[in-house]
Amino acid sequence: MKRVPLSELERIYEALKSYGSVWVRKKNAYETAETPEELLSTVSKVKKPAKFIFLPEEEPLLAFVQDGKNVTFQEVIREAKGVIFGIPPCEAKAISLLDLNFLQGEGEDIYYKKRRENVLLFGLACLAPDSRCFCTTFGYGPFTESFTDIFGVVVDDVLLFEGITEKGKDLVKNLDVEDAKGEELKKLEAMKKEITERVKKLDIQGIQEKLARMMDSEIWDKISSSCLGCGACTYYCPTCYCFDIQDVERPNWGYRLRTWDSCMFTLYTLEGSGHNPRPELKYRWRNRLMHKFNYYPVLYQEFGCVGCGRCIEVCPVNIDIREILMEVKNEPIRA
Amino acid sequence: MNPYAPELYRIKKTVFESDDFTLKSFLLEPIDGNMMDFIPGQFCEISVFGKGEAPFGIASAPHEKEGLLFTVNRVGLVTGALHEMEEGHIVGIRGPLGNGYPVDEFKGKNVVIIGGGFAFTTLRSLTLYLLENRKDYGKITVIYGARRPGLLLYKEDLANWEKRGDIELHLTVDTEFPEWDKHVGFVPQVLEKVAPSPENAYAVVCGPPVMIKFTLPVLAKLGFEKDKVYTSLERRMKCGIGKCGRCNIGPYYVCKDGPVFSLAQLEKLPKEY
Amino acid sequence: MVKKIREIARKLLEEGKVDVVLGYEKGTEPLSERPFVARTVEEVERLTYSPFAIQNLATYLPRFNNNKVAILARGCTTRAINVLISEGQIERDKIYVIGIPCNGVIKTRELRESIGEEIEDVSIQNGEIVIKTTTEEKKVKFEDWLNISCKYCEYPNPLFYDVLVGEEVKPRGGGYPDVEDYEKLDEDKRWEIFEAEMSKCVRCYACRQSCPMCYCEHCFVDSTEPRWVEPGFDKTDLESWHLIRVLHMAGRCVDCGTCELVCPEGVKLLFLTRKVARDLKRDFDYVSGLNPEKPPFFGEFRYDDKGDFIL
Repeated sequence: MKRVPLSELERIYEALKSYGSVWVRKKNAYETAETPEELLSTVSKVKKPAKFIFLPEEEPLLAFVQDGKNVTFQEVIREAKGVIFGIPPCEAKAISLLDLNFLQGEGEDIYYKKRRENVLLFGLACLAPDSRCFCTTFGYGPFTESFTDIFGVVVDDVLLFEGITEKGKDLVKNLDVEDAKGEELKKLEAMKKEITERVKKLDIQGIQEKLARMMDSEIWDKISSSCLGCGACTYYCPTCYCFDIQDVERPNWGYRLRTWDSCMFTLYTLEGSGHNPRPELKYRWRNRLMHKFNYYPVLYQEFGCVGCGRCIEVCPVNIDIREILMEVKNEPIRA
Repeated sequence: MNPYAPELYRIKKTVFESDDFTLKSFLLEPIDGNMMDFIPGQFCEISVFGKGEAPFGIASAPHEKEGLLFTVNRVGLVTGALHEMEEGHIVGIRGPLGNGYPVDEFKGKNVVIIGGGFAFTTLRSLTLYLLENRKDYGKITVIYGARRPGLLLYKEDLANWEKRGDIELHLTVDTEFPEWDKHVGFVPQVLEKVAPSPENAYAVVCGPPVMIKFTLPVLAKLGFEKDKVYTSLERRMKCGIGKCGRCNIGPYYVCKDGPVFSLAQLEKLPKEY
Repeated sequence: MVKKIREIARKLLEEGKVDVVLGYEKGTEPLSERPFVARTVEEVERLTYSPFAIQNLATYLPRFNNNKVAILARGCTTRAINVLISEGQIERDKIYVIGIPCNGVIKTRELRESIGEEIEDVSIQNGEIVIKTTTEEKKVKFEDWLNISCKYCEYPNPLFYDVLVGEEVKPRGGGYPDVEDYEKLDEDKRWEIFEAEMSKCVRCYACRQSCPMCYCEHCFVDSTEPRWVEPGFDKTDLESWHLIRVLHMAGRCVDCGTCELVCPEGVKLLFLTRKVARDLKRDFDYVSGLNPEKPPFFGEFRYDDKGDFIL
């Protein structure tokens, strides 16, 4: 592990800048830093997760020109390059879950990939998990480094850090910094234990199998009864990725636009004929919960939730996924 | 390769299939001359630039090299714009997408093809494919119905098949019509009357939900096992490659893992179609 | 008050007079009193009420059209019920109104976010909201964090009810000084504020979904034929979306403030909805939701309309 005093962060800032943009945590979103001081953000949970950088709320895919019966088009790829500094483990893990959808399988999503490949994740341990956090439920915690390229911890007034991936190690190698001191590492271990234990872990053992048997349960009525059917939970969720593709038309030209979409919207599955396979909120809720806690595990052996608690906070009516998981767990299964 | 970038195709020919002008077929040729290879039952996303994309089953057979055939029902933004297009217009094509019918699994077997309304598109492709590779397959039975004669698709093909001795064709319309001398009645009733044997046979069913609903019990009664009955599902789709999320049924995506599923597969999934 | 609410709810459910009781329960977030649908006598024990109960419950009524429903209703809730009745969305006979005189609701999200620390406990004492955080006890004035509509509310008491819980309160009244303040600004400044607010929108549609009047099955913003608003985040589209929505609310919006209170980005919407409400009151002496018998504002033609703009 390396160390750099927080008062001398400009020593790493320049190196980070050489990669491109340096995004830092601001209250509402990750924003590019203009000064090294901005690396010292104390925001523990950015409202809009770093997913916004890899999967922006809108992005053009193609632009086209029409000339009579003829059409020509060009790919438009919005790139991103740089380092996200201070991304917490939950968001880094969430990005690894997005990778499963966008980078695996037959068609790699080159739009996502172009940004993902060129943005390094400089993670920081989360020192202030809040009352909504339940990350440890999913087999990792506020000090888990494995989803980042470089991982650091602020211990008192020093940043300790190390390269995790090859790319991360390369960056660290070229920095003019000294090794961490023994007492700092000792303190880090103590912090890790104390802070990790502070996170309230849920017991969701067997939830994937339980859900598989609950397709026709009455629980979906109950769960969805106060839901308004807006898209807030999904938009702020760091692992939700569903999107829509629509064309925007101007006289003789236009572009194909990808925007976020939400499985909580009626229109998401409404067909041209008027038929809707998920006609009521309860079916949409079932799908959302199943997707995260049954379908994702079936497809990728990973839950599609990282326990960041954003959905709990942004929900207009405070629907709490933790309560729902417990309700699912406690629901008796009818024979 | 960019999976969202379409290939450009030129409309070579259009023809109204139905007498109410709601169904129009488009024969498309690639402007770079490279015709795609595909399996019957696969589909493409057709782009009308400025309006968007929509998925359509491929109605032509792989050996028909003069172009890709699609039949489009006028229902919304993209289909409405497509209907306004004529010979020479350029559209975008992404595909082939999806799995297609298990034509290899059908080899050496009898195949019963059951279609209703304008859902006959990929069934045309399948039937022509089976006829093209006639020696690989057993008896071929086609049962196809529409509300009235004017709504039956691909009348030229139907006439050709009637002349051939190696395919059994049963056409039906819902009620009596002047000069109609074929079956009268709904598809499930005709199926019951024709009563194809389940012995060494597969059934493929495509049609409006209500037709499928009443056809499946008849197939069960005739003795068709659930893993021998295939259907093609429709869902709202966007990306066509299993990424955008919306067309999932359980952990499967209709666009990528479907649209063709056996009843045995569907039975294990939520009824979200 | 909470005791009385539970008592009434329990009796209604026990006697089978209603199938569900639409009320509130304590949420898991600090300052959260969230909607709750009580279906059983046991669930009645979860019902609570406080000025943190921001959601107008009338929003849920159309989805319970096949049930007999009891609903906790403030003045604005009853006004929303009236509009829904006048527009043929619900029937009065199927609804049992548990009236609640209201002293106003708190901008809970804004207050919560302003604290910036973990909140451990919240209480209301002597006109103050006492917030205990991990490090200190903060006191803020109740009046300072009132929803703007509540601050000038003319109809805090339910307009009708089957049972009333508590004593009627005195309307604050006071008109629309907030709207007038906005109008006093010069055009550039007004436009700047408008653009700044609209630019925060993420199109999650929490405003629409929480609104008792936004019951349309097919919203204009989702329409592709014709396409009124394009997808994406072009400012023209964000601005059109909110402006058109506000205009669809003219004569219908009951000024409950739910749309603004629930917005996860804190987009200000009431300066638009209240402006329309003020104009209707000033120019046509019309206040929405006072009379379920009267046709909707835009559903009525009068020869003495001031609307010379139409000629």
